[in-house]
Amino acid sequence: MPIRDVTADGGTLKIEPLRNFPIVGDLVVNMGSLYAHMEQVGHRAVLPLSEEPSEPGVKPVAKAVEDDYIRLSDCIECGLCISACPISTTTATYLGPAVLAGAQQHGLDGDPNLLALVDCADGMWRCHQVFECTAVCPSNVEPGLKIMQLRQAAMRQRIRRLFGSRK
Amino acid sequence: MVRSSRARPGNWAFILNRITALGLALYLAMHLVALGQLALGPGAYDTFVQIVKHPAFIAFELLVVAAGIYHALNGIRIGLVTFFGGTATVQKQIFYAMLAIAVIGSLFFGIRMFMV
Repeated sequence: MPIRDVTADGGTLKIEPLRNFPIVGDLVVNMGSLYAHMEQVGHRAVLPLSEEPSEPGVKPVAKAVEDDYIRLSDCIECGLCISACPISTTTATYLGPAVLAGAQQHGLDGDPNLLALVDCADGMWRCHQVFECTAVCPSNVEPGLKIMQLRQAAMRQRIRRLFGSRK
Repeated sequence: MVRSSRARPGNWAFILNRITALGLALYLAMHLVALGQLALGPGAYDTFVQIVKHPAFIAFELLVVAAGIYHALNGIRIGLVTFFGGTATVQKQIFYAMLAIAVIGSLFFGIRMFMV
């Protein structure tokens, strides 16, 4: 919501610290758990353009040379998605949208430890499809969509295991 | 004027889903107790039927119908975005469409229930 939308008619802005993080003091919160989890799921801050295309509107690069280009990941680890998530309010053990989107970026294939981390009650299955994470994300991450994609990847793996695949 | 950052569509969808779930579960329990009146004989059941014909009770039942319609439609939205990832990009539009259907459905049943 643009600030002017509130202040144009004499409204009051209420500035609060990020929700769902321990408050250190004033507007400062402790985001250590977010950074630790992002490292745990293997979120990469820099990656090839072919793996994370730029936002729409950015001049496209020819597919043949996409891998020659690297860019900073969309996720800037600001924590706004976790602050907006009502599930993160109800339980401190929920991994949260940023971490789950980071896990989706890393990919589940061939990483049983990562699968075990996110495929649990406090992982991707805790999400209740509120999609406020996507609404407040200032970057192009779409964490809600990434959590749904993570679920689909996990379900595909479970089905494969059910039919005896070794992958 | 202070606008809450919590008063957003996604949060409302989640809260309404929880409230309707609790309401429907409570109604189910009441429904089973009411049906138990049958075991007490026709006199007891007839007394119960007189109670449920009261307009206040019909209004309460309309709330149950509205809760059921909303909860079912929101459940469909959740199923769609979970299993068909492409729909996650239009989930807000799906929510508003489902909400409109729930309101129209509730109005339809409300008119039917109070006209009979």
